Amino acid sequence: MAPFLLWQVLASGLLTGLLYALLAAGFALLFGIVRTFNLAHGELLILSGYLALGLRDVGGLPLMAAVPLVAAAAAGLALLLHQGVARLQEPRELGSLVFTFGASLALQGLMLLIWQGNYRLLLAEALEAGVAIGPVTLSAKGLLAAMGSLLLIGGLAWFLGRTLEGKALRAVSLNREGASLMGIHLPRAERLAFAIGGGLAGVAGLLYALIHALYPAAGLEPTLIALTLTILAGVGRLGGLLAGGLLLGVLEAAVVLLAGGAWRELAIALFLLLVLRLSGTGLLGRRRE
Amino acid sequence: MRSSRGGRDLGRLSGPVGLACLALLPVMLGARTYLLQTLTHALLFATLALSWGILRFSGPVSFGHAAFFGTGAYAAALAATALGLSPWSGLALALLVSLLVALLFGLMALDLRGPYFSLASLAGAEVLRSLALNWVSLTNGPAGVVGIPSLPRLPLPWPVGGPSSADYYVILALLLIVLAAAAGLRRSRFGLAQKAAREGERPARALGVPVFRAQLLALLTSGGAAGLCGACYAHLVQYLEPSLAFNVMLSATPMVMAMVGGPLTLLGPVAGGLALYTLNELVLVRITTAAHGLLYGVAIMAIVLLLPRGLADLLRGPGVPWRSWQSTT
Repeated sequence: MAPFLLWQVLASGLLTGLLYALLAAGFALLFGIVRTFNLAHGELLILSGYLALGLRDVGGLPLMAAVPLVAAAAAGLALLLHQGVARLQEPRELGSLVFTFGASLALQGLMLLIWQGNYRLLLAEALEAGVAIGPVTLSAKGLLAAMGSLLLIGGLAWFLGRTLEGKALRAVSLNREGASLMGIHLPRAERLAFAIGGGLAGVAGLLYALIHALYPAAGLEPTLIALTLTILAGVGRLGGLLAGGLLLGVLEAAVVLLAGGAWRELAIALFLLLVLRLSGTGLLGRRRE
Repeated sequence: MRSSRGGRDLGRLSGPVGLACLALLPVMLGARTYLLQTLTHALLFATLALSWGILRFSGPVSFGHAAFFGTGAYAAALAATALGLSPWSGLALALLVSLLVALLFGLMALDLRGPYFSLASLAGAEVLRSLALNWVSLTNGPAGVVGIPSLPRLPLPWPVGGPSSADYYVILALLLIVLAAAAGLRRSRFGLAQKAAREGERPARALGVPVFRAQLLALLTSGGAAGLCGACYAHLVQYLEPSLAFNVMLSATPMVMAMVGGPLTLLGPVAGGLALYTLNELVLVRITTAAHGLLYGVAIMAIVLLLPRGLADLLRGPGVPWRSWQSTT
């Protein structure tokens, strides 16, 4: 392989990886606090993309102005989801998986009802150009998505590490009962986690829609990506998400270069199976009963 | 209060009577082919729901039954079109290939803990969908497979009638075969082992129950049955494409049907499948087609929240014949 191609793969893979880490951040936060894999996460992202599209096309709102609105809407929807998850019978682990699978189908159906099945792109003409940096050329929208992701992940790291609320969330994810005994109100912590996770998913969805086409069934892929990174990183490791995201991004860029863009979905699903397999037997430090 | 004996007798009778009704249905319906085709598909989806229930009985919750369905569908379709095999040998090939997929998946994922198995099944179905879409030289990719012949006829001792009623009998036979396999499995030693594995994997292991073997047997039966459903489906609709054969709704539908009817019972998934499919086809589709996924999704959420053991819970009471469904678990 020519050296410039290697650089190109690395650079575009890193950009993709940053966005993937953001996709997974809200998902991983929920998993840490509620021990729930939210299978409707991808649908929340795609719905947010559609909302931004609608706000721009119908409301005439520029993309930047749509960001807080979309984030608020997604946070509200996530809180609604929490109302259901909180009412599930114990043990919630499997029940919540089935519940959020149902939610993902319902959201898919809703999007199909409103926007039909066509592929839609959230195009911004100013961002269609390429940017040359040294030997590589990167797309402007990819750069924007990666910068936005980095900013939000940094914000989340600051929140979890420096504020009292964030520390409370980390305490819950480390030890639920202990945190409860120390006076942390668990239902409030769960609501906070769902709201933040939903808001992050909203912004991530907008950034995701800059690069990927929107269609009602598009949510499965980001869900699988978020799952992969969360299981790979383990609970409470934002750095692990970032590292996993970059790894998956570079891997995907290499697959696209060597085999073609059609194979990236297969690569992601196979990578998830591999991660599940390895984590299931304890190679990555996760127990199996 | 009714005597429990009367209830049991009624329960025992409901099987043969129901079967006789199902077998005579084409004769009663006569020329109403649309209704007959709808019922044929309803029987097919009832069988698919039953196959999901066979695996669930031993513990694992599958989110990826579309993998087996799609594999069987493509195997039968390609056997008939590319290889030129007769439909019967095509069905046998479809069974073999879906058993192979189930075996590989079982070796890879069955020892994962509950939720992780479910996630692996979701990813596994996505792998196969992506393969069907991109392995163009084998599957013809997104263009799909056309010209699949119709289902073969069963040699029956009474006049079968037109092609739709011939199809109906094949699918009814498939349902009965899968039902017999499931019932036989539950009565065997492996049935007890499967129940033990589901209710408490660790204690079962500690007592020497062959958990892995019991669950693998359930997965093979389930995957083979779902593969046969897919194969018959390919012959019924005579056209196949990846988004049809590996649609995520094919993983969701049997799950909803089984959960509505009672996932751990033998006849619950069948009843759930028949009821939901006909309801969907005869009532809901007339209103809107896009709402299909929305309604199924909301149904899943409502059942998990309100009736974790299925709608059958509402109907079941002392002395009611439905109770006999539970006795097989």
